[in-house]
Amino acid sequence: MRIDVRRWYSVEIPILEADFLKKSYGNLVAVNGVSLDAGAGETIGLLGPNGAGKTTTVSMIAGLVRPDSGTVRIEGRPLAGDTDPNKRRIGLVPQDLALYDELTAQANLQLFAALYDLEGSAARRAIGDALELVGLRDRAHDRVKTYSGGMKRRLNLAAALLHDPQILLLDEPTVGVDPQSRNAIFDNLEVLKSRGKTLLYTTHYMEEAERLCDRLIIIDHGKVVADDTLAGLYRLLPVTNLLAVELDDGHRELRLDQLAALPGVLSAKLDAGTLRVGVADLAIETPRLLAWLVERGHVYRHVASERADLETVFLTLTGRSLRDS
Amino acid sequence: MTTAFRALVRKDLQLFLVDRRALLMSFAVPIAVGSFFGYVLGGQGNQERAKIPVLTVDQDQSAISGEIVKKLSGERALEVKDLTGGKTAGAARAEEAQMAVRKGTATVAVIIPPNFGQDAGRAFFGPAQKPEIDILFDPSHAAERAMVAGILTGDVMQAVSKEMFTGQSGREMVKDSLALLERSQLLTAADKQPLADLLRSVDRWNRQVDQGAAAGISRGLTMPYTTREEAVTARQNTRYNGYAHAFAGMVVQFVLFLGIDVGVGLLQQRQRGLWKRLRAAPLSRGTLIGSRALSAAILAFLVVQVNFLSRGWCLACAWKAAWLGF
Repeated sequence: MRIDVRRWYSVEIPILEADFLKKSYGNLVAVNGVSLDAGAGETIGLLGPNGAGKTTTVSMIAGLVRPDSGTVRIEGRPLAGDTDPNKRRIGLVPQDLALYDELTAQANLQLFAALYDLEGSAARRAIGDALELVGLRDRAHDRVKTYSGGMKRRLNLAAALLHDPQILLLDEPTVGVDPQSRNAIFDNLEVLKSRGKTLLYTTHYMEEAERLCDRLIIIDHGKVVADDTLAGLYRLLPVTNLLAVELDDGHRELRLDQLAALPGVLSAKLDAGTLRVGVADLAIETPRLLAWLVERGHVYRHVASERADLETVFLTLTGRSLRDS
Repeated sequence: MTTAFRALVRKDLQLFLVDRRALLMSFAVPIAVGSFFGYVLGGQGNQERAKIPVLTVDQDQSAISGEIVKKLSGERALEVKDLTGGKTAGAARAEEAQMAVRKGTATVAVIIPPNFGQDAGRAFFGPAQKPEIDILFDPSHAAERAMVAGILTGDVMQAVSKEMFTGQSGREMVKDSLALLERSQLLTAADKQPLADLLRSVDRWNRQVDQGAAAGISRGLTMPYTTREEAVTARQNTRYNGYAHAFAGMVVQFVLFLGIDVGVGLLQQRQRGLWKRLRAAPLSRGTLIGSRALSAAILAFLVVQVNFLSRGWCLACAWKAAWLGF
């Protein structure tokens, strides 16, 4: 039996906890011991390539899939069964556009509100607020099939907000939308974040995770490989500042070992005529490095600085690319 | 729970009512198909039963062959068209009849060959060669062929026997047969005597008929029975109605289709992620599936009512079933 000592010592209990979740489909282990937690108002990014186990994890947290082992707790109370009232604390934005195309947005939202026992004026108010947030109030009485892909995505989000859940599970909510609609969804999510909602955001777009998330959980092959803030994840990298120098043909004479031995240079790599040098401080090392190259007769055509991103973090942690996996 | 259940049922009904294809398939198509099959199955029961289209070609033009064609034309089950156009046109008419059967405009063609009357008369009393009547038929209507062959047998027997016993050619045939019998070397005297008695008796009968002694008595062989037909329906004093049968059948069939549609709808919901969203709410699977079952039952009831009411209004069929449709 597990004793929750945090209750005894009045430690703040995370609003969402998942402990050692495991789920297999036949021989395929989809999720293998995933644990995570999220506090009130926190936005957690669940980052991983396709097939990493993100959707299965979210499905277990939402109560759609029963884990083979492990527990999901909402405000310290375990989630159990289809009719668990704790599910009211969760709003799910599925990856698919879970809407009835033949019905109007209003009719769709009335149905989804009724699933949480909202009717009458309470439902009307909730529907009005949700449509207002996603900017679809003036299209409320149009059939969903007349909506653009981005509008459907926004309505998909609105449908999860009607019962005012504390936790919002967003399973790749921007798949297949244009940049304008994506920005609109981000704006909506930032509003929700400012209202103190806890967001669990799954994506394989690093720029989305970087923009929205307070903390990132990187998941691969059903396991958590890192769980930290963005800054914390960058600290895992041996090099965070890169200088990319595009060389002319003279690079054949380049001595990488001498370059790597220079003070302030952390790494040096030549790839298809482009020299990538990891440096401790760009401002100090850049002029010194360029002078070193000129002194040895190397001619460069273009110089650019590169900052390590989540892709680099993922590559460092798993040895493979996030998008291509 | 109740709010959610009601909303789920309402949603299914809304989706059905905005789906023109579903409306068409559930209401208009069963009415159209039911009306068609009702008509084919005999309509409201007061129409004449469908007749078998039969062509006749009389290449003999004798009293016997004429009588056979006349009798066939009088049969209630047959719709006879006589293509006979004189003795010289016989072969052409036979080809015309064959072509009509080939095209499907006639189901059976009966071709009576030349000298049929004479040959049949001889075969009637003695061991002479039996003449052949050609029956051309559409192989997809074998049952109709059998019916026509049966009717033809009765009609031929009546026509030949009538002519043999009382007809002019029959009298001559009796006299010829007596002469042949007396000259015959094949039969013994003991065999000849009874046959000769029979033929003389027939000859005597014919003379009595001429003198009016046997007037009013049926001549020749006749069917020794008549039939009385009565359609027996499921309920007493209820006339058969093909529309009632067809509509009931169609309604059952389309309610089953509706059931299949409900099952497919559930799978589609799952495929489109809707099932996930519904299950994310604190509802039991029983509520989700039960609401679907109830909405399907309501729609099935609507299909039954609309179909049966339309049948009643449009086709003047009385409503004999319970309101639930059973």
